[in-house]
Amino acid sequence: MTRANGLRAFKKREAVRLFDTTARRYVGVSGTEFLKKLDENKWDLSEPRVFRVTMLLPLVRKTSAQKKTV
Amino acid sequence: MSDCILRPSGYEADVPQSLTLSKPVAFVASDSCLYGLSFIQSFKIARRTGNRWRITTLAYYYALETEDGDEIIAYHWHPNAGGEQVAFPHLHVGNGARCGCAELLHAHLPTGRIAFEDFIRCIITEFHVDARPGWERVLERSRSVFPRYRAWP
Repeated sequence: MTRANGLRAFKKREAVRLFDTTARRYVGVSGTEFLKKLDENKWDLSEPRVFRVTMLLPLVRKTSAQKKTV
Repeated sequence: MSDCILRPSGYEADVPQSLTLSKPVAFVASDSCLYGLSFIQSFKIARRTGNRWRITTLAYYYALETEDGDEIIAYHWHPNAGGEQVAFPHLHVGNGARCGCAELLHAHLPTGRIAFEDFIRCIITEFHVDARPGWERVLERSRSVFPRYRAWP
């Protein structure tokens, strides 16, 4: 999607890839594994590297439910 | 400084969205070290009266990192996040700074609200980054809009 200012949103595939790359870089797991552990409350959200990844949750989770976990 | 493109996760209203760079930013400073730069803003688009819309910042994360992704300094504001629930904007001095002070590594040093343009200016000037010509004008043009629309200082 592109708005009048030309700022195109990430395509779904781009968003999933960026989330996966970020999770692997900062916490050493895949994006899928990161989400699984997040749902199981296994991350320390005060850890900067974890927080860094959670800031990108809207890339892969489009509902407001993420507000409960981040 | 980079050919990265800023992109939002989407434009759907009333749900949190992320604004971030399309790929990691890496740059070499005057000390010949390789650094990384992170930029993420969480925001929400909400309808106001009529056809007017407002974008509200929900959180931000600006960090200067080592090549390996350790934070050197990071400006955070995440009033609705979990964990320690630090609601005020703050500065972290991270592992990448190698300061050797355990208390400082876990401290949330209070700051005012930080504009990303100010963070970039700080990085360019303090780390002597070879930015493209005209960078000051570009930053100032963007920075000048910020005070007009922000809802809190």
